[in-house]
Formats: sequence, structure tokens, C-alpha cells
Amino acid sequence: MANEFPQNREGTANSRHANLTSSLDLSTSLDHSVRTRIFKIIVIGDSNVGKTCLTFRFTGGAFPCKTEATIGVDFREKAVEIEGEKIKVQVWDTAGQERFRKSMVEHYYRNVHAVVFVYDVTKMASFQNLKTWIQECNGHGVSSSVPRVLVGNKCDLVDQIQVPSNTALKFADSHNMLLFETSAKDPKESQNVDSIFMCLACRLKAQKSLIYRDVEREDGKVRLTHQPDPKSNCLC
Amino acid sequence: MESWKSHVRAELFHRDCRQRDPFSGLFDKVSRLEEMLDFHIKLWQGSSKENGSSKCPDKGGTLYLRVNEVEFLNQQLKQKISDLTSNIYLKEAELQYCHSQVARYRTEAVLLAQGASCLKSDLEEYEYQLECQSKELTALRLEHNTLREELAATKLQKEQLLDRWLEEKKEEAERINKHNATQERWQRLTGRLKKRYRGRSRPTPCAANSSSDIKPTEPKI
Ligand SMILES: Nc1nc2c(ncn2[C@@H]2O[C@H](COP(=O)(O)OP(=O)(O)OP(=O)(O)O)[C@@H](O)[C@H]2O)c(=O)[nH]1
Ligand SMILES: [Mg+2]
Repeated sequence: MANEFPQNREGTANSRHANLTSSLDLSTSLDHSVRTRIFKIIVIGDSNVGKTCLTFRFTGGAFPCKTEATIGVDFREKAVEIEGEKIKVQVWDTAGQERFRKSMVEHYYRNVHAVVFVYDVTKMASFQNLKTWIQECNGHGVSSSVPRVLVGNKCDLVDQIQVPSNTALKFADSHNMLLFETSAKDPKESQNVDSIFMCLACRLKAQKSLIYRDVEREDGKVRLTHQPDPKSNCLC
Repeated sequence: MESWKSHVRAELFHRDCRQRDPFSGLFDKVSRLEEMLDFHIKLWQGSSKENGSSKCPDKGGTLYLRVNEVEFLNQQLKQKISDLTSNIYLKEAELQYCHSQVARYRTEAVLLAQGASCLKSDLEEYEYQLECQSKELTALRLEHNTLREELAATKLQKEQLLDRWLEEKKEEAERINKHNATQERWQRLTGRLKKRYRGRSRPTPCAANSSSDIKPTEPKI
């Protein structure tokens, strides 16, 4: 037992050194992580409309060959850069089936930054149910300033379309939402899927720039950016 | 009909039955004698017609009668023999036919016996199979029951796991929400601090920090 002390003392010295470097790392990474803003976007809609596929297309860049019904919620993230700022888009792929979601609905809506309502263009019922979804959203105190978009999925099934574009457009207009008609499956639509989330991220960034100002370092000088970057990769 | 009449009729019928046999030989004899008498009368009439033309050596005609009688009997016997011979042929043919029938029935019987024994062995086989299958069935029923019980248990377990999964998801969601909230608070705080700091003095850029800024971030799923 006694001869453990010197070792311990040495160990303490080492760990102190390590602590010093790690705290440096920590502050750097902390600074980095603190500077990366998170936008929480929830994806809502009937079961089987393709919420999981859409979110996977955005975050993973592919169409999943097989999906199971989502239980509770799946979290997906994608780091994007808008006007030079790195932003983490945190997508909450929620469950459409009542039994898999009822116990955690309140968590979906807490501090949500944007909402994506999804329906299946080949299933009229999924479009008609949007009213219920919007009611649920409003019922959970989501303010009207939280941006919302409407997404009609499965547009690749051209000959099975049941929801006409103008009907969807009217509905979106009446609820002050943007409408995207797309397909998570069709690789040609990949950009369109990305643009749904990027559009929201852009709007959120524009909305929140008053709360948080990004500090950019350039040529060893600090510069405040009030104007959006001209090389913006915002898609909307 | 009055009963005494029917009684008399029945009694007469019985008497006839009883008395026919003892008299049958007598009747035969009478009919034979009648036949012979007819023959004699015919012969007599014939001989009396011929009497005038030819003379008979036999005075009384007894011999003549005798010869003709024998002839007649001879004829009768011949007829009988030929009848009997044809009867024998007929019987022989019948017998042959019966033999062939017997042979046919025998082979048929043999075949049937063979079939019966086959069927019997089949039956035994089937009985054995039935027994095996009934045993199997009971075993399967037992297995089915245990599987059903297992299924119910698994279903219950699945439900429990699902509940646990949901509970964990809920906790994770809570954690992430908390993390998001902390992050946002931090950002607001650092923003304010930086503003205040910049207000007081002009800061010099830190090389270590700038390198950390351009760390690439991988998309996570
Ligand atoms: N043709 C076609 N099929 C799609 C598309 N998107 C999803 N699907 C199919 O739709 C089915 C359901 O997709 P999911 O993404 O699991 O549906 P979900 O909305 O997440 O369902 P829940 O998790 O139960 O709420 C799957 O079989 C997908 O392959 C699409 O764009 N086109
Ligand atoms: Mg899903």
C-alpha cells in the first residue's frame, strides 16, 4: 500500500498536466460546440407517408431499402453551413402510429424551431388528416412564428396520385405554409428534399440572427456580420 | 268360405298327399296296361282287315301278338335308350359347364382371398400408421400448446420491451431537449459576454480557436 504513494503523486502530476491540455481542448471544443447552433425540426404526419425515408434522404443522402414503423422518435442530425455559419440541423423523425407516439408527444413540440408536415400524395386520407396534425401542433403551444412547411411525398408514383397539386397548394396557402411536392425515393428529387430542410434552416437563421450574432475571424481581426454572406448556400 | 268346407278340403288334400305314393306304382302299371291294350286293339283291327288276304300260320294269333308286342316294347326301349343317351350328353355338358364354373369360382375365390389378405395387411398397416399419427398428433398438440404459451409470453415480453423502448426514447428526447435548451442558453450568454468584452477592449484573435473553427463536421444519422 505504502509504495503506491509516489506513483500516485507522479500520477497526480501527470493527470494535472493532462487536465491542463484537456481543458484547453475542452475550451476549444466547447467554444466550437457552443458556436454551432442547433435547429430542432420535427417531421409530423400519418404513418407510412415516408417521414423516415425523407429524413434519411436528407441526413444520409439515400433512400433506405427497408423501413420499420418508427417507435417514439428517431433523432437524425446533419451539419450544414449557411452563410459561413455551421449549423446542426436536428431532425426529429416522429412516429405516425398513435400507440408509438402518444406517450411522448409533448417532447416533440418542446422548444421546436420548425415543423414539417408530411402527407402521401397517393393517399387522400393522409392529406385530410393534416388538419388533425396541425391542431395537435397548435394545441401544444407552438407559436405561429415557428416556420412550418407542407411536404407531399411519393411523387414518383405518378399514376397513383390522389391529391392534386392545386388542392395541396390551396391548403398550404390557407395555413401560411410553403408546399414541397417531392419523393424520398427518386434520386433526382434528392436536392428538392434537401431544400425543404435548408429552406427552414435559412429562415430560422434569419429569424434568430437577432438573438445570436455570429463572430467571424478574418485576417486576425474580428468582424461582425450583419449582412448575409453573398456565398450563401441557402436554397430558398 | 264356411270353415267346415275348408276343413274338408284340407283333409282331402292331406289324404291325396298321403295316398299318392303307394298308388303311384299302380297308376303306372294301369297306364302301361292301357297303352298295351290300345296297341292290341290297333293290332287286332289291322289283323282283322288283313284276314281276308293273307293266312296266318299262327292259329290263335298268339305268336303274332307276342312278336308284335316284343317289337313294340323293343321300339319303346330303343326310344328310351336314345332319350337316356341324349340325356347323358346333356348332363355331361352340364357337368362340364359346372366344372368350368367351379374352376372359375375357385380362381376367383383364390384371388379374392389374396385381395382380402392384402386388404387385411393394408388395414393393419393403416392401423399402425393411425396409431403413430395419433401419437404424433398428441405430441404436436402438446407442442402447439407450449408454443402458444411461449408466444403469449413472447408477446407480453415484446409489449414490455416496447414500453421500455418508448420509455427510453422519452428519456432520450428529454435529454436532447435539455441539451438543446442548455446550448441555446450558453449561446445567448456567450453572445452577451462577447458583446460586453468587445465593448471594453479590442480582442486579439486566438490561433488555436480559429483552427478549431474549421473542423469539418460529419453528417450524423
Ligand atoms: N414510392 C415511394 N415509396 C416511398 C417513398 N417514401 C417512402 N416510401 C415507402 O413508404 C413506406 C413507409 O415509409 P416510412 O418512411 O417508413 O414511413 P413513416 O412515415 O416513417 O411511417 P411511421 O414511422 O410509421 O410513422 C416504406 O415502404 C417506403 O419504402 C417515396 O418517395 N416513394
Ligand atoms: Mg418512420
